[in-house]
Amino acid sequence: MSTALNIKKLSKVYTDGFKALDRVSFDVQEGDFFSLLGPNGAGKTSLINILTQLNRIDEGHIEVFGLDLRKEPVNIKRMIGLVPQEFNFNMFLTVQQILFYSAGYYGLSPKAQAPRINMILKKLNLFEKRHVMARFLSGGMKRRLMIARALIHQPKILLLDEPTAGVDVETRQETWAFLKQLNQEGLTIILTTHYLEEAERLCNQAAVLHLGQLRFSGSMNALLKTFNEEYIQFFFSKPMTKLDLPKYFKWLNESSACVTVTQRRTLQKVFSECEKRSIKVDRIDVLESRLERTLTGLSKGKKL
Amino acid sequence: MILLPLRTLMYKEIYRFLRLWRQTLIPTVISSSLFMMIFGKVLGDRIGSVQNIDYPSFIFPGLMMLSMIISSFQNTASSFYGEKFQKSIEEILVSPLSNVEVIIGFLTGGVVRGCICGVLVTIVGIIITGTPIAHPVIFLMTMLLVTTFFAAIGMINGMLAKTFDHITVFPDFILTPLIFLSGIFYSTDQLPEILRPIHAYNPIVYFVDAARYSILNLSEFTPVGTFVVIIAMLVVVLSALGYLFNRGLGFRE
Ligand SMILES: Nc1ncnc2c1ncn2[C@@H]1O[C@H](COP(=O)(O)OP(=O)(O)O)[C@@H](O)[C@H]1O
Ligand SMILES: [Mg+2]
Repeated sequence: MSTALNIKKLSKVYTDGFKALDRVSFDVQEGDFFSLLGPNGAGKTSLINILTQLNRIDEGHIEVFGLDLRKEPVNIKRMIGLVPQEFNFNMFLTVQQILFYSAGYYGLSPKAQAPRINMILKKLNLFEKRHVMARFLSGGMKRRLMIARALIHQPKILLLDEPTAGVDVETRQETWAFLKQLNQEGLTIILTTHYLEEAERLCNQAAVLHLGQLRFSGSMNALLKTFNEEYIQFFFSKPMTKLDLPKYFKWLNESSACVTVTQRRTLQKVFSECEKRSIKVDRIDVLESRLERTLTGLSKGKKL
Repeated sequence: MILLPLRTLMYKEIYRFLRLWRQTLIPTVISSSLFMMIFGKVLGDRIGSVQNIDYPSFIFPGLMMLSMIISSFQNTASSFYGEKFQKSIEEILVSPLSNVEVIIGFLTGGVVRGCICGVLVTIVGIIITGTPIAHPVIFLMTMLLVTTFFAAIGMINGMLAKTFDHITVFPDFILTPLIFLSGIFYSTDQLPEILRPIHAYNPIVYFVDAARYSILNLSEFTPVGTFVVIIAMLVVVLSALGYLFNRGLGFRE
């Protein structure tokens, strides 16, 4: 097993003088499912954009599978697949056209293109939509299209920047399952999220960023020991009375209720309890996350 | 052999405007034809001839330039800005295309669109005015130079633009006036005394002169001098484009 990514003392100062990253260092091993955690504004996207060379590297060092980002930028680009935080494809092209162009940019031979594209489209459940213009896809499909595009050239590292932000519960579960499978097939995955549950479900390794500084880097288990609970709001598809819900729910109105998720009462358990009682959950929202609570504590001087 | 990644980008840039040919190719041909018909067939007799050339033929090379300049400029400016606006430029920036390849890819779209418009206007011009092309090879060379030049300017404009307005300000307030003051419709000796010294500082004058030389064998400056100026300007603009693109100005923090 080799080191997939090695980041040393990476700093980023934007042109307006804002310091988004401050001497961040950590490693990701080949085959890891790695989460880069941090609340909004922590610097996650800034870091991802430097890795993909959308932003310039100013200070510090990055090595991807032993290659120096400054010396071999193009070879590194070939090894990375990016699923960005915001949709960034041409909305007026069809699903298939978007993938054909990407395949071409990465130099996939014309003969190999069609089979590869069809295979990925089928894998991501987009094959039926291949002739549809991107702007007519649902939000979940657009996200899947970005994953398909990132995988087209068989990257060695997949970077996902908040892949499930603003996504419905079903799509989120599907995405998780798909990513898990990719990782089991040997792909190194780095995922940013401000949602601890996501990292907990998927990742074996984690780093925590806060205000541009690294607060933690290590195994997911070690990280979880330091976090306690998370306050989550559930939204229901059908009206619910107080009595329909498990006792630990705090009923707010017919369509929503809150629940505190802990290490013993995991989100998964809450979900299966809901399923048992035929409670249809439309979506959930993290009101106050363990991560945020802990990080708020951290910025007040507590040690992780 | 052009490598596949670059070929893909070139294809994309050409396909982009061909798909919209009703908006990208036809309007400029219609307006140039109207100019030649109205000035030629309707007003021609009253205007008479300029430098012993009948008026419709005299304005034909300039109108061809007008069409090529506007269409090559517009293509790169709107394509690059559009990609930036939709963020789909990131798709290209994270891929293994080198900076030079990205520049060539975008310029290709502008050059091809500009040349297609130029050829269409030329065909219409030959039909209306009956003027043959005096120097076909120089004519082709002129087309390539002018479209590359303005495609590069358009790309710089698209890179620096922060809003959609920014890519219409330059053509409306700078390019169009310069084109109309470049002697498309008159020869320099018809200009008022005070305007003549500034005339030579209008870069478009040289492109119009090159076109007029290649089509009508008529030139204000020596043909060699004209091409030296054009090539020098092209080198400056391409260097500026290369420099700005490497710096990532307007699209890379
Ligand atoms: N182009 C930019 N110029 C100036 N500041 C920026 C720029 N991009 C991001 N920032 C700032 O850097 C900080 C980190 O942003 P970002 O990396 O997007 O965080 P995250 O992805 O963790 O939410 C934020 O405070 C943000 O406002
Ligand atoms: Mg972000």
